[in-house]
Amino acid sequence: MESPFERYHTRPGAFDELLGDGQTPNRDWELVKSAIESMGVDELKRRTLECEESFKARGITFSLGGQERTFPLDPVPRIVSADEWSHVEAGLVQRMRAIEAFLDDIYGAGEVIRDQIVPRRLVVGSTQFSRRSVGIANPNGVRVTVAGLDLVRDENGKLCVLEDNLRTPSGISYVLENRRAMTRILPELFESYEIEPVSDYPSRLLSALLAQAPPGTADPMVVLLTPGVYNAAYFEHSFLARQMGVPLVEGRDLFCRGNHVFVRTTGGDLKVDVIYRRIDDDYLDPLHFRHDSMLGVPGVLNAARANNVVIANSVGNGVADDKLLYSYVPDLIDYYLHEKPILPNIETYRLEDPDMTNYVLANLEKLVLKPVDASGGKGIVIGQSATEAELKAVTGQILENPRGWIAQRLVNFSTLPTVVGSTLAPRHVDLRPFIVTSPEGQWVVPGGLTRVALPEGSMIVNSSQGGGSKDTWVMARRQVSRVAVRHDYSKLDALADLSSLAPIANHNTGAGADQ
Amino acid sequence: MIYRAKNPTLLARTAESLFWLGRYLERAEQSARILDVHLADLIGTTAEQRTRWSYEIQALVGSQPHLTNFDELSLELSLAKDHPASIFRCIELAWENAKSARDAISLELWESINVTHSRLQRTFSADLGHSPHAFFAWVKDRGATSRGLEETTMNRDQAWLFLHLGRTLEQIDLTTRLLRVKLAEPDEEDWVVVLRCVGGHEAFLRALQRPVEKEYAIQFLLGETLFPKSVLHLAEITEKALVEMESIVPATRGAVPVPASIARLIARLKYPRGDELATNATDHLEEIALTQRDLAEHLNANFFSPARDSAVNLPQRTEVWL
Repeated sequence: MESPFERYHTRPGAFDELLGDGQTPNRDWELVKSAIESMGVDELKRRTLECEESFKARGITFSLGGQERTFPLDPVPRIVSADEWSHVEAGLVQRMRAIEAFLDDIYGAGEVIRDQIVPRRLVVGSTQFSRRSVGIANPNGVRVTVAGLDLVRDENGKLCVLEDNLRTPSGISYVLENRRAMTRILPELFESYEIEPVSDYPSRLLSALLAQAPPGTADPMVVLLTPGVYNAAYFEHSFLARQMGVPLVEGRDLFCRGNHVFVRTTGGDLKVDVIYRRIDDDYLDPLHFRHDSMLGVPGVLNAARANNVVIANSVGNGVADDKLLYSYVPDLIDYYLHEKPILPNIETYRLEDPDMTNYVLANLEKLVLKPVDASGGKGIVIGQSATEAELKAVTGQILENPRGWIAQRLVNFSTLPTVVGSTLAPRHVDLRPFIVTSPEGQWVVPGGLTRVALPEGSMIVNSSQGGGSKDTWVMARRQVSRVAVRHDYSKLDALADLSSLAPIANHNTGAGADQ
Repeated sequence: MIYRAKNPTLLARTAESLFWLGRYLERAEQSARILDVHLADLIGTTAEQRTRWSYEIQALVGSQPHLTNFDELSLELSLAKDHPASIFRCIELAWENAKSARDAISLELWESINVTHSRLQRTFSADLGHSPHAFFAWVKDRGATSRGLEETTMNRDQAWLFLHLGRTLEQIDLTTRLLRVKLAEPDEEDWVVVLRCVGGHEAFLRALQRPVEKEYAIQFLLGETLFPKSVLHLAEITEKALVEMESIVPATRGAVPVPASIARLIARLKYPRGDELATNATDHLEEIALTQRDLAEHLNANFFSPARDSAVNLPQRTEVWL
């Protein structure tokens, strides 16, 4: 039988993570390759399908337009070497430290504006800047408890930051569930590889949330606030709440009394100390934001200001994941940490300068245009593949509101072998690592969610547009040799009283088949 | 070392979701049973009889009588997406409540409900497939599965009690509605069909060992301790659950653990004067209705979220999230 890797090739213009530069064979991949070769792609698909069925039964789904869908899992893992990962980890921690410092600064003293590192109009002109948050200092100094950055590997094989998601990033439940599924699809490989575990996430997050409780709280009560069962990410909310053992609440379960927040239970009203919220700023507190929102809790912001409850992630973080501000993050790293950025940005064009706008409008086909304050791939226009009408529309919008848009170089995301039909073909991927910040510092989930664009040549990895996912395996630093443990089974035999299984003597069982 | 089991308090909303989960699971199963029973007995009946049954069934599930054709009715009560009592809608609502109370029920129960829901959506969205009987049997089977998983995979904690109460109160509701509808028709002859609507025909024969007659059937449905769907049996279960609830939920709102009316009802049904259960059935039904109202008030006032109604029309957001 032909090996599925025989005809596997690099896509022109993109970096392939299995083949690399084509010179040095990547030793980490050898075992994956031989395992897939020996079982064949069809068997691999069969095992994956089985897992997908169990995902469906257990409701590991997201809802899209009223339908429950699974996020397809591609069974070929992504492998990241220990060395590269420690570099990425350092880069992510560095970036988050700078962003935390920046948020603290703009909602406090505002030195970064006074020192003219970031223009004032950029900050206060952001739709995500929250004047109401000015002066709310989380007593324990963390604003971005959970961040989910988007990384891509460029044409040279270098990982770059594409986006910062600092509000309510999602996807971690798929990291954990994909890992579980992979141990069933390719159990052989978990014997041979030493893979960094991801299962610590819920306890790390819970510790980070507990550590942020208002000072003097003896036994803090943490809740996870969800918009409800109709939200697309409801599975993830309920998954995390169960894994952390905290109540999953909706806005109507909470209420404020005397600047404290309470939750209604069958045993009476209980005081809440930390809210891990998975609803947007706009819907959080109808007193301050959208008055028509039924999802939030009236008065919760005042309670936070009075330091009686901690909202995580903090209100107003969106100003730092604004895509225009993104272009300033390398400067912020220099300003606050006096360090060089470890992970580079993608070249980004700011459109407030009319010359730059003219250049961008003349070169639309080479660029990607993004609205600065959207998330989840909404509103993005890829110059190369957009229709005439789309380009015209986006040009109009840019001229009308240059602050609302940025342009980026069109990066060819790297590719990974992916099951297509009965063979493997290169498909483009990105990576969303998750960073948990507690008062003691940052912790990065080893790996993260690898999203893959399943249609050939596509670089749109969003789940709603034909995206799938892969498990990301970060190789452990030290290869620990596995010690085979020998069990003494003879003792177990002795314990089991096998005589009770013998047929009952008086019963005539002999009158059947033998005659 | 010894341990003390935690009997975690529930969110008021979760308690209410569990209660409704129980009710909707029960209701879906009941609708399937009622339709199945009547479908089986259609053969050889007159057009007049069919029309009467159609009206009766609509009264039984609490909807305005508007359909006279039994086939249309059976399709509507099975699959109509907007009919509040259709099997489709009941399972959808059960699924929504299960999702909302996901952290309080066992994984196996959740999986079972989730699979039922998605199979219904995928396979039975337009018609009942090759045979309505097969569909009803499937619904009853799935109902039995979830009941079994409830019994075997869940701790007997608050969550289970609310689920259990939901089921019990729904069944009281059905048994009494059934009697009310059938007693309204003084010429009702076929009490076998009535018993079969609550799966009680075989049980009747086994317990009484004599042919079905109206007087006996009424007494059986109201006051037979052996029959698990008699009002007496269900009322006793309810009382027991409420007493249990009282012992594990600290009474925080200063309420009486069990409404007096349920204790009174049990006494009346258990020790009737002669055959008064049958001769005085409508009075008893009246009393049961009042007790049901008391129970609903008791649960609402003591355990459930006062904000439920305000959240009925939440905006449904289905934006891209990943």
